[in-house]
Amino acid sequence: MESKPVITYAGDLNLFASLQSTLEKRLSEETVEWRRSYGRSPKMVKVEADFVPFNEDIIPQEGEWNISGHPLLHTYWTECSNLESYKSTSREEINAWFSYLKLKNVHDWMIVVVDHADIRKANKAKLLPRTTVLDKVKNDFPSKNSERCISLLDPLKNDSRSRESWQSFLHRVRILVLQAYNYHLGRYEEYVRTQRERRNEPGWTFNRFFFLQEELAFVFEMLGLYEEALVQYDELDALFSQFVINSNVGGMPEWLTQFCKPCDTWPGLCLLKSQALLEKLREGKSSLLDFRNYLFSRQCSLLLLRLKPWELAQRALPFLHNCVKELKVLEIVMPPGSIACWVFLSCLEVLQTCEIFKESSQVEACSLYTAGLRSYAREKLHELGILCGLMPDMEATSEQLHLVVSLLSRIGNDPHAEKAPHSPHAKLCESLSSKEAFLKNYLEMSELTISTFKYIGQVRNARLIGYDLAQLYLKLKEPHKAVTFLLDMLKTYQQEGWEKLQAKTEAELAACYKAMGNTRSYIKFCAYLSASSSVVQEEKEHYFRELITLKKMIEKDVYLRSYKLLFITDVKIQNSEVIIPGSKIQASVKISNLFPEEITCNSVSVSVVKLEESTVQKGHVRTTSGSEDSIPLPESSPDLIHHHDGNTGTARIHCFNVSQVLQRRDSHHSFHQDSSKITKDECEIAFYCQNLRLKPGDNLVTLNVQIHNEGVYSLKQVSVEWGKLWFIQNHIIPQVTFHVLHEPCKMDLHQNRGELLAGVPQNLEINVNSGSNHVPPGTEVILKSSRGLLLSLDPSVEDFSDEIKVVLAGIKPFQTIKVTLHVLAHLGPQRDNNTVEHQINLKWLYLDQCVTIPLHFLPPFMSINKLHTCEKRKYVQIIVHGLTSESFILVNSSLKSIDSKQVHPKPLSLSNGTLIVNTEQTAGFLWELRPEECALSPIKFIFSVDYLPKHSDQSMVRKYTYDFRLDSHKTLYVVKAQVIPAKGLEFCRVGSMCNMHLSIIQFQSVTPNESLMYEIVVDQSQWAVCGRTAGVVNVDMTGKHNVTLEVMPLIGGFLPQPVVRLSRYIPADHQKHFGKDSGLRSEGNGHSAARLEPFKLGQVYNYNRATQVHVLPATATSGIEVVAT
Amino acid sequence: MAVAVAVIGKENSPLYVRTVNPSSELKFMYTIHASLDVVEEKVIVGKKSSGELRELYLGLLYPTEDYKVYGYVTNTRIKFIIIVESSYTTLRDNDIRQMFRKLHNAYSDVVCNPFYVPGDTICSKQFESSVKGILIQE
Repeated sequence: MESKPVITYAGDLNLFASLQSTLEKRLSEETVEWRRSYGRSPKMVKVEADFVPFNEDIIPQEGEWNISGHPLLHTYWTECSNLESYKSTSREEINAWFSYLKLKNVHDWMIVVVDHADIRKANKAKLLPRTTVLDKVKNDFPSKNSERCISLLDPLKNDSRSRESWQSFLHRVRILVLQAYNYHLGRYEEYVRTQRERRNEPGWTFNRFFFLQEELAFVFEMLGLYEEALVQYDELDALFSQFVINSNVGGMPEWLTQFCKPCDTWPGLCLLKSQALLEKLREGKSSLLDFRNYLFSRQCSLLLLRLKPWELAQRALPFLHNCVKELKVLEIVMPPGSIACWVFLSCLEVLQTCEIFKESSQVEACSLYTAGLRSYAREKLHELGILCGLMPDMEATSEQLHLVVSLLSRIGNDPHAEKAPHSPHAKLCESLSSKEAFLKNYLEMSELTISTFKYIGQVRNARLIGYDLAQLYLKLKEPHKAVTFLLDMLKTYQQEGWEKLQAKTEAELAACYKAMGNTRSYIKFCAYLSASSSVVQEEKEHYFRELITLKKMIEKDVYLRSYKLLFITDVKIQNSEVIIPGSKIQASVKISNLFPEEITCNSVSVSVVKLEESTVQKGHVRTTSGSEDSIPLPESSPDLIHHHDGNTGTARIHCFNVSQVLQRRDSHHSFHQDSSKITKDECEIAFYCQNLRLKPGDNLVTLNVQIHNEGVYSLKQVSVEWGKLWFIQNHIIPQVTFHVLHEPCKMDLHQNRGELLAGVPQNLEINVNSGSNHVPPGTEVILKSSRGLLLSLDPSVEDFSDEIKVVLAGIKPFQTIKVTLHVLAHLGPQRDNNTVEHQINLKWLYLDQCVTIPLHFLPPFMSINKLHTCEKRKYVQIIVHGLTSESFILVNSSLKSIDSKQVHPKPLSLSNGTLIVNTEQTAGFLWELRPEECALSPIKFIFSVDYLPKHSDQSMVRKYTYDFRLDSHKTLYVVKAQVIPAKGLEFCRVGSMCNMHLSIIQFQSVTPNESLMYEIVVDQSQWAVCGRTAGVVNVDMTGKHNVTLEVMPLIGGFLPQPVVRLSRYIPADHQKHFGKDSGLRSEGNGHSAARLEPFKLGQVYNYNRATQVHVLPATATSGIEVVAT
Repeated sequence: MAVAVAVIGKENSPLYVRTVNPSSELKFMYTIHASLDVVEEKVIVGKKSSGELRELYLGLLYPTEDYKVYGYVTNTRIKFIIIVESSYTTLRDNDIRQMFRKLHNAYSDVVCNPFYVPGDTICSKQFESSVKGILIQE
């Protein structure tokens, strides 16, 4: 099949012979770029050639289409070195050669002039070389676009010039060969194309066309363009396939019938190069399988040349399928089993070829496709096994033995016989030789296929083959081996929810376990199958009967998943009230019974787990068993939005972990099909119910539990006991939780009105809240008040005391009862508006500790006393200020002296008159003291008045008393002062001096020679006092003392007269002399300093208090003066 | 035309399986289930190769001697599987695409039904009739 391009040589044959070997060797040493027409990308190719001598017959006739033996380039070699000899002989010879080529319309020629440097040198000496032979040649044989005349310098020498010359020569040869190829291939391709177009014409045969196009493939392969070569085969493949497909619909062309002959040999695909097939094809004797084998082996060899074994594996399976299909379509008669043999052999051939490539990346790439091939080969082996009676449950008949012999005899000779002991042929022969060998090979292939599928991650396919193996093991009566495969399958189907396949697998498993005598497992699968929706009713009943009979036989408990058997679909906590510790919790549970008949189960229990505080807060409820799935609880809080007007505008509940709670669960099946180990949780608290009859379908059942501790509880595992069978459901979805609430009792006092008033009975309410407790009737609450506060339950009786007992009625949980309480705070003498503080202590069996409630009572009014003086007379005034908006009526006021019997103040107001006080109204009472009474000092008085709230139904009049005392209130001195205008002036004027006459009169000389000090107190903006503003005087025996001062008004108008303040002066040192009008001097020598002692209220009476002096504005002249200054 | 049509859910659970011949349903189920391997593989490869929109039609998944299994994956990972007999040589790729398009439309209608919970098995009559149009009428 080696078809190198042919290059002819002519001219000096001896010369060429000397160069031929070098030329052949060096031509293929380097690659050269091949530029191609039709936009095909340039390729680097290697040029090789066969050299043949030129003769006239070598040039093909017109219409002869053969490209491999076709001479591509014609060379002419000459060594002619001088022009004379050239002109005389060489030119003629070349011309003859050249014109023949021209005649044959051949343009691929080349003339090589071999030059020798020493000859040239010799020539050079004689004459100037005007033209060389080469120039002459070039001139005589012109070529259009490329240089076809070339010189080769000293080809036998090994210097640099020679090498250079060789290089350029070789390059030129390559270029010219490729140019010739371009031309010939272009024409050839055109020819192939036209032939293809004629494919539907009668007389066209595929065989001929095949070789025509294969020619192209050979050329490309030779040039190293494997891809292009492959394309040729692919095109042929597609063309043939199309013919086969069309033959099914339209008519069958004549040539195709050749392939439709009954096939009597089925040699497997062979990837070794074999000329035999090609010969057979050439002769037109090949069968479809032969042709296909050949075509595919060519494709494979090209793929292997491209180092793409995976593509080989990839193409193999479709190739095999396609062939099998074509055999069917063309209705080619093949004996049974022959196709299987062929497929098996071919698969193994490809697989073994792929195994040669050990590089990991290649193995990986191959595995993706070899898995399918292995599976196919395995399938075919299985088919053969059945056909030839080699399966474990079969006995081969003599006919089957004959079949084996005939099948094996037609697979041809083993092409690998010498090299590989495990060739496909050998394997097939071995497998069909005996049952044991078959089983061994079949198991081996199956295991290998499974591992390959697993390697490429196609677990489902692996499982499917496992299923076949399981079947085989069942036939081998080895159910325990089958079980492992079936369990794997079951897991896959269960996970992905293929119920029908699951049921089928379960049925097979049940059969296995039954055969193995594994009752515990068998009973499980009986249960699953009898409840499966994918099993027909009769079978369901059958399994159920099995279940019933087996149930009695088992000794130990068997745990089953309850999903799709007996499972809880819905749970509702029935309690409508708040659940408190100790209350009975009822859960209404919907149990689905999928068994075909009613069952009576011993018990149903749903375990209850207390959720830890932290998990509840975090929003995640983790199952106690530590499994991975956790269900987020909604975490929410009520949220009130306040508006600016102070009213609540909106109320909402805000959930913080929305995204977690509402997160889409990808695997919503996984909760149910928790195929992890089914175990019964030990749990102390559980909803429980005994002896339940569960009908097929949904059953509503009520379960009870009592819980004594507060907390959040969640319903967890459900277990239904039925004899020794336990149906365990690990989760209830959606998760059900309930809250057991514990709250302590609470007690407080509530006042109805805004404020409590002292002195009058007030209503209070005792609120008793039971929290989460039941309070039986008859419990006592003891109330104790602080001093001055009295309590009563019945206001009508006026039976106040400081400690009372309240007997309560019974209280239900979370109920609040109210007891009205009356309190009376004592109202003492009120000198200010401070509230009266009291407290009440509450003591109750249900309270952990004594509750103390502070209370604030507001006095309804307060009273103050005032002493008024008018010279010697004295008056006592009592003013009562109301402190609340509520009005109080005051009657029967009286003022009495406590200690002195002689004192009887004379009331000046109506003693029995009614006065009303509130915040806006005060009441005043006035008494006069007789002069002789004034002398008594001190006097203690007590004022009393009866009061009554005005707007009240209380008719009870209460008494208010107020005591005070008066000390040394007798009048001792009288001060008179007068401001008189300066002499000659009629009025006091601003800016002019006025005289102020001050006279101090002693009323009674109780203490003679008493030193007094007067001070003039003025407003500095109104008056200016000239000279001293204060002075010490001694009142002499006359009891009178006069002082004149000068004062000046500063502003006009009615000015308050300067006030004179009088105080008792106690000198610092008695030896010290004090002159008249002498100022106050402080010695500061360590003795006690002189000090002033103010007189008590009422001891000094000032005549001129609040008198005013009329001051006129200053006169005009003085006004100007003031301005001028 | 097809001999089996299946709709497989996101988590590879069957939402709908219909075969021409009910007796062969189990056989096809095994095939459909096994073909999911190839679907997964192709989807992963498709994901890797381009960030752009993935072609929904996966093409031939699983040729066997007698049947050809074709696959199609919606953007929500719902898989459609159609099995045709290999002997239908005239069936073009475009015909298969057409079938899938029809199936996809029918499935979209099912999902649009507010009473249908995605992930449940499909029992819509309208869907059934669409599938019947795809299956071979015997």
